[in-house]
Amino acid sequence: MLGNLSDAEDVVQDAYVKAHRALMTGEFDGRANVTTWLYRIVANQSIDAMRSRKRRPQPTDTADESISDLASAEQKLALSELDDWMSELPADQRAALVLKAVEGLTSPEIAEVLQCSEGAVEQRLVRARAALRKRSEGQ
Amino acid sequence: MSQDEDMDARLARLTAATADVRPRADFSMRTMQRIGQQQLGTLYALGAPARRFLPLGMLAAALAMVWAVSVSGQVDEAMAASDDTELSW
Repeated sequence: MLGNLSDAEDVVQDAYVKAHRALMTGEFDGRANVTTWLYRIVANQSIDAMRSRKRRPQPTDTADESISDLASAEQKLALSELDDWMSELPADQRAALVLKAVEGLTSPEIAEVLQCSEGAVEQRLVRARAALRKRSEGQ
Repeated sequence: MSQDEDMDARLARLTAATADVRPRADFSMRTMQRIGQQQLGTLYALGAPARRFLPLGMLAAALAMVWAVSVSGQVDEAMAASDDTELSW
C-alpha cells in the first residue's frame, strides 16, 4: 500500500503496538472479527502515513535505500512500479484497491475494514481504476 | 474491457512479484521491544498518582513500627512476670 518497505514496517509495528494496547485496555470489544480489526488498524495507519507523506514528500533515493537490503532486484522494481503507478491515487482509493486486488478481500470485507458502505467501496474502486487506466494511457 | 483486463493482469503481476517481500529479520524483536516499552510506560503512569500518597504511607509505616515495639515491650514484661510466678497445686 505504501510502496516503501521501511514505511510499511513502521506502519505494521505501530499497528501491532496499538492492537496490543487495545487488547490490554479492553478497547477491542470483540464485535469485529480479529483479522478484520487488525486489517482496519493497519489500513488506517497506512492511510495516515500516505496522507502525511503527501504533505511531506520524501526524496526518491531515500525510499530506494530503505529497501536495498530487504528485497531482490525484481521485487524492488515491482514495488517501485506499483508505487509509481498508484502514486496519484487518493489514500482511500489506494487502500480500497490494494485490499481488493492485492489482499483479495471482498467488497463487504473492505467496507468493514475501512468502515464505510459497500457503495462507497465500489465508488472508490471505480474511481481508482479510472485513474489508473488514465495513467496507463498516459505512460 | 481489454484495458481492464490489462490493468488486472498488471496488478496480478505486481502482486505476485511483491508477495514474498518480508520485513527485516529483527522486526519481531523491535516490535516486542516497543510493546515492552509501552507496558513500562503504563506502569510508570500508574505509579505517578500513587507517589502522592508516599508521605502518608511512610508516616503510617513509622506509627506501625512504634506501636509494634511498644506492644512487644509489654509482652516481654508480661512474660518476665509470669516466669517468676510459682505454680501452686
